[in-house]
Amino acid sequence: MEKTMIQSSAPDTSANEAVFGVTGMTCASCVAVIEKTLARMPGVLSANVNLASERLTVTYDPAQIDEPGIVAAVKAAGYEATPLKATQPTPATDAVGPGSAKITLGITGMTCSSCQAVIERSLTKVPGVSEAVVNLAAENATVTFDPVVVSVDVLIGAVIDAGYGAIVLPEAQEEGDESARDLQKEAQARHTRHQRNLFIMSAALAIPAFLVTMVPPFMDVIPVVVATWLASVVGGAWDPHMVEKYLGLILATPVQFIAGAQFYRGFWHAIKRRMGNMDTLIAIGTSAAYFYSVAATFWLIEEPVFYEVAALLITFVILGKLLEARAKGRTGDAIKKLMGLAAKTARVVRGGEEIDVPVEQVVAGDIVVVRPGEKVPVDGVVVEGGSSVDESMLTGESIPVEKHEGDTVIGATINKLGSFKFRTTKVGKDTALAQIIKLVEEAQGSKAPIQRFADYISSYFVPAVVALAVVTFLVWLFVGPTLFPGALDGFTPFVKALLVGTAVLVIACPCALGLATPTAIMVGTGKGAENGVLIKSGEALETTHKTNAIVFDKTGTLTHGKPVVTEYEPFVDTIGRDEFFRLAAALERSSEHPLAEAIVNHAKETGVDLPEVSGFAAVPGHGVEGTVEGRTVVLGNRKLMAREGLDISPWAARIEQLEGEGKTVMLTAVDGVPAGLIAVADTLKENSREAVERLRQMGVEVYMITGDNRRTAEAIAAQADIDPAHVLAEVLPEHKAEEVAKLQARGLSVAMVGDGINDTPALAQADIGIAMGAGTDVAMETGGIVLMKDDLRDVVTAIELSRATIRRIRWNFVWALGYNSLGIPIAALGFLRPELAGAAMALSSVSVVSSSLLLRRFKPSMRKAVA
Amino acid sequence: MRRFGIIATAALVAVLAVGLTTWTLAQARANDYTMVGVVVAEENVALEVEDQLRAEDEITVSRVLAPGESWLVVHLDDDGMPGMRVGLVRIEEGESLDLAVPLDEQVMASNVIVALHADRGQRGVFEFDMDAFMRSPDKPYFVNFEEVVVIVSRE
Repeated sequence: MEKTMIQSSAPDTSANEAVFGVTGMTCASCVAVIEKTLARMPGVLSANVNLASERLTVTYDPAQIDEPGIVAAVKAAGYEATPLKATQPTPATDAVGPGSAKITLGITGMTCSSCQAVIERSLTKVPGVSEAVVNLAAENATVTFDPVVVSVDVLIGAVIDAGYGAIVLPEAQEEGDESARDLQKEAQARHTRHQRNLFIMSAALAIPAFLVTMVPPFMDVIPVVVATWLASVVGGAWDPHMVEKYLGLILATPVQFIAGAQFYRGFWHAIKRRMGNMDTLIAIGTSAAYFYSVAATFWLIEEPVFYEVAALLITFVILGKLLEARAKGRTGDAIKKLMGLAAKTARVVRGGEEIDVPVEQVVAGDIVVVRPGEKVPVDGVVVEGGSSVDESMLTGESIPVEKHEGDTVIGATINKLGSFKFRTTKVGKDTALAQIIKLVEEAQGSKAPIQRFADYISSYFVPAVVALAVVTFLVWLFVGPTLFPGALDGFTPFVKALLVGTAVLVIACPCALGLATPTAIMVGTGKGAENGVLIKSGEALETTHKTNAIVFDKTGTLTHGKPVVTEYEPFVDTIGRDEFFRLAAALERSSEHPLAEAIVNHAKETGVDLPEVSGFAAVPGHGVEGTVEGRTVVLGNRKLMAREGLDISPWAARIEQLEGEGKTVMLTAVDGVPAGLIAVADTLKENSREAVERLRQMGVEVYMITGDNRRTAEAIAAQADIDPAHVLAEVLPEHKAEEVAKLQARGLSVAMVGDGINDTPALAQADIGIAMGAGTDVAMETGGIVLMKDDLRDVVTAIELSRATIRRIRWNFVWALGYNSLGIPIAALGFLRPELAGAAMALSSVSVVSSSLLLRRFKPSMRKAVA
Repeated sequence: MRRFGIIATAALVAVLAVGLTTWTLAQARANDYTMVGVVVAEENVALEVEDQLRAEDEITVSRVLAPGESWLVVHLDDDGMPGMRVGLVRIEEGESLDLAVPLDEQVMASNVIVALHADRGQRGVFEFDMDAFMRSPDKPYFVNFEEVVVIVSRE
């Protein structure tokens, strides 16, 4: 049993939490001994022992007791404790609201979607549990419960009572702690090892059983040889036909009751909950064949036996599960790949010296040195030096990104040729990589709405199949001999009816159905992460495929979101082009307006020296004025020029032309003479037009939404090749959601793409919100999909991936249901032996998982340029 | 998983090798095995019958050692093979001497075949059908792949 602390309130920051590895425990009593011993220690606020993981978590007041004190107390109780880590208290559960907590349990022993239903029902029946979602592919259960009403012990007990194994994953949700994941991996590996041993044993017995009873000349020779041997060694008289039956019994019995015990256990637990699952069908099917054979061995000795049917059936089912587990393991490759990216050490400057420390010891604010070819260990901001950094592993962008002082660097990316130092900003669970892993894990564990279809079918399938098998049996028993006298294959009607009924029972098992959705979601979300597209849930992945309208926020999404100087032109010859710009830029240096920033940046980039300004003044709604090098300079809009009494009509046509292109035109006058214009614009991202075109080819209506005036908006839309009728201009941020709702009211399934900063309501209103630019917390929290980089081609990738995943899920349903719907009539008509039905059933699960794995071959249609 | 693959392949190869060898050997002697009745060691079974007079309406079996409850069955000689059944007597396990097996009708054939069958199905009911040899419980005894029979010459 497991014991885990539940905290639904904020942790006490004055307390520390320490985790210890404990050895020497054998049972739940040891758990109680350690917990009680520690509970009596002054300063210990709580002590919780997890027997399965052999971990002790202690919350304590550091003023009263320390780690060595805890170790000593455990030792005095007769056990060994080793400190693993000390942190501020970390809740074992995610607090999700008052009186509500969430926990993830690793589950072992599930075989099909019916098991999933059994566990979900068992958990939701526990008082205090508000929701339980079981993921068959990820083999975990996420439970939302009231910690005041129910403890984790009870939740685990409910799963165990239902016939499955459960382990708590205490910190996986919180920190991406690898050891917690290892715990589950270990449990799964143990389970797989056990199944593998059972399979080897089953195969070693079932194959000879099959040869002895079914395959000439083995079935002729072996029983006679054994009978002869028995007659000479043991004495007495031995009928080879009976020896054949005894051999079948001897070979099949261990398979039936050792390898098959798991099916009886599952059957029993399902019966207790008045449910059916794969175990129900296998247990009934193999028992029918086995016990009938026992009767034919000892009482109805003229009747044939079918030991090999039961043994082979169990062998095939276990083999199917093993192959499925192996394939399922590969569906989580993306997460493993992400985890493998994390750096192990960091070179930190401490006390003026550069020292290598484990990455866990890096704290926010440390200065970290990164040399050529090294991995950036954590997130931070460059403070010295510069280099290009390969971020492809996180963003999918193959071109290395230039990093200079002030730029952010992301942990797990690889430095190319230069060296730099950076100040760490995020470490541990806060790094972009840790958040991406958490996000992908959560998505892989979530249930897509399409899964309801499988759940619904599975819930009715087993009882329906048992009923169908009984009807088939009765028909073959009573009507079969009359209707199909030639189809009895030399068997008595009872034997034929038994074989046919068993085959129907086995072929109809809905195992593959339960795997159809989650395996595809796992591969799909993983594939997304590989391409810099973080899909936050199965639901988001599913909804995206329906998208037939997409709304792009203009600023920062279609465009760079940063105005830049596009051109500057002098009005008169007396003041040269460079001269008037130098004077204007000098003036703007004192302004805080975004347009001023664009001008100053341009001056810096082009190496213009900016002189000092005196008498600077901002004229609200008009512009700025001041004195530069003794000359009076004004810079602003038409209104400012009018206010200064300057006639700009000779240049009005040019000004309007630039404004028509979506640019903001600023006018400059020097010493009372119009001197020139500076055009500033927020420019379109390089790939926006390409992405828009591709989306249109995919049948998606593309809209642009902006607060800009219509003329400016249409100018940008024209550059991006967006239909003017699809430009939603002059929309205030707070009204963007309404515009999205209007499109939805037209029956469109709308995806909203924004940066998550001022368009959060619109992202939430849309059927699917796509937030650009991961790394900002806002973006990570907003929308169903997060794009790792500011590249609109990834929107195309997200939709393509979603469509590919849903297509794959539908194919999986075809595979899964195809086996059943084709197999049932074939079996019911007596053309399928039960053991072959078992092989077909095992194959159906394997083919569904393999089908999902085909998604790994997904390639975005808009391939990135190779560096 | 790799180790598992190696073990599984090795097991498969072993099964195939043993299977192929058995199959080859079995094919060579397949006919010897296909119609073998109840197998018994030589020392545990005996059937001795002297040649007899044609006029008799019974066959006298000098000595029989039955490994279990059994049947003494007299067949007409059909070209050296047991033909129509003309006499049947149930005997107990162990040795019996000078047992008389009444013949159903006046048998004029020069040879008859006396066979020893097991009584393994319903006790006291002779359950043997040559056409359903394997499924018949009361099959004849075999020693070293030879049926326990005696061809009796009647003069």
